[in-house]
Amino acid sequence: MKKNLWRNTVRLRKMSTPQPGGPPLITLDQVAKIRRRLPLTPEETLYALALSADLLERLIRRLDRPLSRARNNETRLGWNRMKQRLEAHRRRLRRQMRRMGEPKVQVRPTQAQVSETSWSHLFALYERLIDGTKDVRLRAVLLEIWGETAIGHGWLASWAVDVGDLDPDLVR
Amino acid sequence: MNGWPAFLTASLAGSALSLLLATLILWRGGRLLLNFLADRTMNILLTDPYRHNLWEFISASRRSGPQLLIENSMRAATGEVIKRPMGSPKPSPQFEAISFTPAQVNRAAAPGITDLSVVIGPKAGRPLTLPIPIVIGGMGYGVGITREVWSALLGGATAMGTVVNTGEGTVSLEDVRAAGGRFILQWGRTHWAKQPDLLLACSGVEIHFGQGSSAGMGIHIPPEELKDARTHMKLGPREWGRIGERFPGVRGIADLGRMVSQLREASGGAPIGGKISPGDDIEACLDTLLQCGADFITIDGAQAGTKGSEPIIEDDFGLPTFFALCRARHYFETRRVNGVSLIVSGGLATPGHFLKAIALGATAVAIGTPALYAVTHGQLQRALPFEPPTELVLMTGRRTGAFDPVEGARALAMYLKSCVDEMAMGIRAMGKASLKEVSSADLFALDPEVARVAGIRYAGDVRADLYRRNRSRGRRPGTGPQRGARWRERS
Repeated sequence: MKKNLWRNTVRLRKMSTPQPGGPPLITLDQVAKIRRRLPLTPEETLYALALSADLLERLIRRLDRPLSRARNNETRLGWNRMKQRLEAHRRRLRRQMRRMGEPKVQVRPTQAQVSETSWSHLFALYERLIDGTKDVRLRAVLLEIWGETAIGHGWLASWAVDVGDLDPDLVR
Repeated sequence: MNGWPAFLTASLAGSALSLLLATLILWRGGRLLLNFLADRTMNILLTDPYRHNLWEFISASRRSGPQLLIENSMRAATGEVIKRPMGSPKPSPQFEAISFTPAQVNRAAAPGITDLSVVIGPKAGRPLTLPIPIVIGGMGYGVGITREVWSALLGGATAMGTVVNTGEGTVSLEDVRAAGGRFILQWGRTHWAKQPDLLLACSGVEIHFGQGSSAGMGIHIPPEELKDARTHMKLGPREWGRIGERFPGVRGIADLGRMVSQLREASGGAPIGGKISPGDDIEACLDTLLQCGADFITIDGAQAGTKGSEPIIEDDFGLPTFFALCRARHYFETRRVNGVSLIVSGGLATPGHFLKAIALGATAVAIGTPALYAVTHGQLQRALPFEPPTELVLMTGRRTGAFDPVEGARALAMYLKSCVDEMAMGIRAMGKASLKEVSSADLFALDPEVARVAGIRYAGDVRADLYRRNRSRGRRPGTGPQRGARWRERS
């Protein structure tokens, strides 16, 4: 048997995992909340805005097909409203980018160009969109696009943690 | 009975009148009184001989410094070795004597987002990738700081995607998992924090050989200082916490190499490193660690802080961080060492220091004291003015219950975000898009000795290699600028 340098010196009673002195003092939710409230630099804001606008454009394009195939008027009307809402949101994002003097930021930024903090704000924005969508099929489309983007950027693991609100006041 | 209201009214009126009179006297005569006292004091200070003059105390304290005056009094009062928290107060000006070259005419400053990610132990089975080049240095729960403060460090580091070192203290996996955090397990000369599941869960193992502020010394921690951590460290109610001077069973390089292999196996391929307090034999220490197969080496310079160490160790031992880093880089270059990361700590306090350390060859920096200052932001008033701020964070503190870990975590995350954004600005100002592009070639020194040690250019040397000396080269004879006496006259 291989000589184990630390087991020999440590009594067995000490090998059991110690129990914490109380409940954890910091939780995932609190960490996520802290991350959401971290300020974004103007550059990070621009990339987050560019990526959000890109996501919305892809979503709007993908809505066209099921919209034309919707069987009843009610569904069509609901989806149309959703599309208008998303378009208005995209216009707002583009307007904010223009206001910041950089209307043509690269729409597919690399992983390094979207910082952890930008992602947490972006996740928050998208989650708000998904939460506000009652239609099951539309939610599925939203989740699918979000998943594609998150996998594409290698950030899917963080998705579960980072939820919150994009606060334009945080732009320094 | 009927006279009572009149008596009370008269008493109140009398008191009010007395108060008014006293105020008036002070109002009118206060200046005179103060003037008289000031005149008298000045007269004594300016005319009395030194043997009767209070100024002698000020003069003496200027010679030795208030630090020595107070520490000597502490020694005289207790007769014990004093333990000074937060490291040596000795200044270390080398990092201040270095500057970066900005990009402007020949190359522009870089726009956009800067990539600050680093990899610790790239050759390890599961290398540690960090989005920022700052890790939280070893501060142990139980042996130094409280669980609340360690949790705050964990929360702040996790919010920024980086890791926190467990120090020589104990750690609870429940706490780490609840925060979704990552940690570097410090493998100390202790019997606690040695559980196999900790090894499997950690992102790296740092074997603690020494640290800048306490060298390789072991310590005895009395039970009353361990408080609630005592049960967590599996110590009896009267048992002292003991950190030894040597690893049991390790007698040479072969044993050390075996320990590194076993830790690597037990941790499932996590990067294994060693933390040293550098001295003049730093090259020998690095050589041994590399022979043992270390994936990273942490150099904790002499300016490092601690919860409390002996002034002789803090002030008179060890190589300052700057010299240690430069010598380590030189050793790595001459021995062509690749794939071994260098973490540097000790006295690095500003984003400029962090970036300079990385430009000089460090892979990442570890911070301790600045992180502690950050977690106490907004909470200092809970200890001040009657207690020092360390009373909030250290196990020995009397105000530890007043510390809020969530608030501390938020403040640390903000501090780290501010630091990395400032570092990114610095990198962009050099015209670079990534931390990996920054090197010692971007630096110059304001002091020739610093330039020599760091192997960088001195600010006073002319860069003749950067411009064309003879601008008339290639022109036809006689068309170039006039030279000689006539040219001087025209000038």
